[in-house]
Amino acid sequence: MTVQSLLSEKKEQIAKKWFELVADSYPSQTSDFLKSKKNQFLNPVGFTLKEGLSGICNELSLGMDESILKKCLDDIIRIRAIQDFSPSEAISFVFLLKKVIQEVLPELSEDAKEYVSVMVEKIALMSFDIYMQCREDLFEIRVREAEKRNFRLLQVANQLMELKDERVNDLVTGVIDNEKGKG
Amino acid sequence: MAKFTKKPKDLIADIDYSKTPSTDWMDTPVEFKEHTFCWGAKGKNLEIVGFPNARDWSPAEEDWKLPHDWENTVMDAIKDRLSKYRSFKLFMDICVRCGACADKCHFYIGSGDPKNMPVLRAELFRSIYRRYFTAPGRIFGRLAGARELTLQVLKEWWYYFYQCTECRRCSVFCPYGIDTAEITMMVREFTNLLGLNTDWISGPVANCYIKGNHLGLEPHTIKSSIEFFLDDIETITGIRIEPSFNRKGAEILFVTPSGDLFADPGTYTCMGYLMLFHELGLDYTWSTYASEGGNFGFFTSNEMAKRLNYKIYAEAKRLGVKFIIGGECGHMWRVIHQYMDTWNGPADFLEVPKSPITGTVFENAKTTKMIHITEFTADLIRNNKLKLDPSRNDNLIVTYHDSCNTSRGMGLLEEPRYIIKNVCNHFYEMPEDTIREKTFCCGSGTGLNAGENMELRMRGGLPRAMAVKYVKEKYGVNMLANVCAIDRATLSTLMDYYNPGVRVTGVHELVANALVMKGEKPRETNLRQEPLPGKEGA
Repeated sequence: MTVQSLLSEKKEQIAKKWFELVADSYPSQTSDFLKSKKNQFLNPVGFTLKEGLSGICNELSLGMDESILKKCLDDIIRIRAIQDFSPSEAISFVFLLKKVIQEVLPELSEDAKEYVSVMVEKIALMSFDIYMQCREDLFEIRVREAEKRNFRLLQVANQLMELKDERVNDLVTGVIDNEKGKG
Repeated sequence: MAKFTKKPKDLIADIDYSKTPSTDWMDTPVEFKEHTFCWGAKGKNLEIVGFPNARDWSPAEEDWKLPHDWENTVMDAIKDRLSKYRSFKLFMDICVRCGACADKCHFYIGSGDPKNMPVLRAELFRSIYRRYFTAPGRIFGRLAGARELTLQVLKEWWYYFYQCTECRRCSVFCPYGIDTAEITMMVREFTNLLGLNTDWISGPVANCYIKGNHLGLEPHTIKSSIEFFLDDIETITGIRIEPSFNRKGAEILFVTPSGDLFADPGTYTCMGYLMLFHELGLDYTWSTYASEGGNFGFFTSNEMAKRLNYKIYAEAKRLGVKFIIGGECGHMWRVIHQYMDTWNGPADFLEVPKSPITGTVFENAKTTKMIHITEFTADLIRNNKLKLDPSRNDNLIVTYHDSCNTSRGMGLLEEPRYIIKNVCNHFYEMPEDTIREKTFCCGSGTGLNAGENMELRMRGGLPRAMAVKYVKEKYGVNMLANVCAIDRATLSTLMDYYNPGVRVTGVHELVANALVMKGEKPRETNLRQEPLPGKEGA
């Protein structure tokens, strides 16, 4: 049996265990809440974690489609990037995957373990980029908000003559293009 | 060589993935982390309104420059408020810690920090109440859930009660009807007595006190700002509007949040008001003195809120108007609907609002004499007084965010929806648990809409953003409508982070786009001067 088919067979079990471990990275009361509340709108963090982690598990046994992985990771990291986590804590969940696979599939061959290791490294590297993108977005939106706040004041003060560029146009129409962080 | 002797499994064991504190909540000190709190007030702003302990201070610094007897100040204030407000005493005593509120707070849902559970946030204060104002607390101390008031406790209060937007979602679910927002208001009032205000709140309060609006805009600036809008309106419609300012004898005084004058996209909402009133030929006036619908005093103390609220009524009296129409604002309406009457009402010198266009009498505003513009406009539409072309908004797939204050604070649920459905062809509701009286807060109300606490705001706004994401993915929603100036500014930022491509609008921007005005030229663009649907190539 190939490693992919083993992972495919156990993907639901891996995703479930992974989700539980990630939920446990929150304070205990919150961990219980994240695991038990089913409504996706009343427990958006739990829902996003569950969906994202399942999506990643699915890709492990398929082709590791970058755009799908990126979307799953972005959904999760976009939240953890603004929660009370240091950068390493925010993406620590990726490395828990190794632990989970070892527990669920203890019989994996050395080659298969190597495959898993490389996959996790790939996901980790993507996660660094996404985390940084989220933090950059966070500061970008802060700057944009300040610009929007002052835009009309500058207009009244007649200070915008030299600024008739695209950025000003964006400010006027409210169109923001920061899709770059999205999958 | 000792450092190389650890085995891999020991090294792994050293990595701690858990955020559960090893100590009980009472023993876990608060940690001030950058991007989660607002900057401290400037002494000059506190001095302007006569707030105590006026000095510059920073929450991040160890020394908060408190008065030497601050504990007594707090104790006296608690005693005073307990005797003055029965509701406060009741809220202190009747909580049975059932936990119904625990997972209802947007800050808890978004942050995962248990001290943001409304029940635990209230316990931060209630533990002090028990220690000093109840017999079991005095005798049994910690066993009875009581603790001493220390500097650490004060800092914890400050950190967490400025992470509550007083949205009252938790109150909807409390079987006893405890209004946690009122508890937050009280604790903020105590911090106010020690000069522990934030810069983002105290600046607008001082500005409003001196100049009549949060931004500190002077009369000529207000006028020139509106003139800019008039130029744009003329470009779009070919119609030159000439509103009046500070005009005595006008029938109606119009008051809106000053954010509408400067902060995009609120500016388009403001253009919407101007166009609607012109089309109706309404006998109304702007005021450059009562030029603020919002009331940041509400986030400091009861007295300050009352002082700022009074300006609107004093101006209405001076101008001799019959009644007041208020613009699209959130907390302005909680203030008017729930507090104004006991502060400065009843406003007997005014008349019960009666629409001069339809003759509808707004009995709901019998004592405050002030109606929300969506009440006014919904009534116009219902009586067929407006010619509307909703296809002009056909490029917009709209959803509606209920502001906490207008929905839970005054029950304004149907009017904005009724208007939107009449001026837009594509409207979709967000999921049931996230709208109307169960609406999720924008995460930036009660003066938390500063920039330095952006991380916190993204936590608080997360549940709202996720509900928008759902309708964006399901129906292609690209416009988030609302009736609050803080929402217009902060939801834009929230969307930019979580749901790029979703823009934010006030309801009256949509109205003005659809409004067919007498004598207008064929419209090519909307208020943002983007081509109307079907006019893209023009």
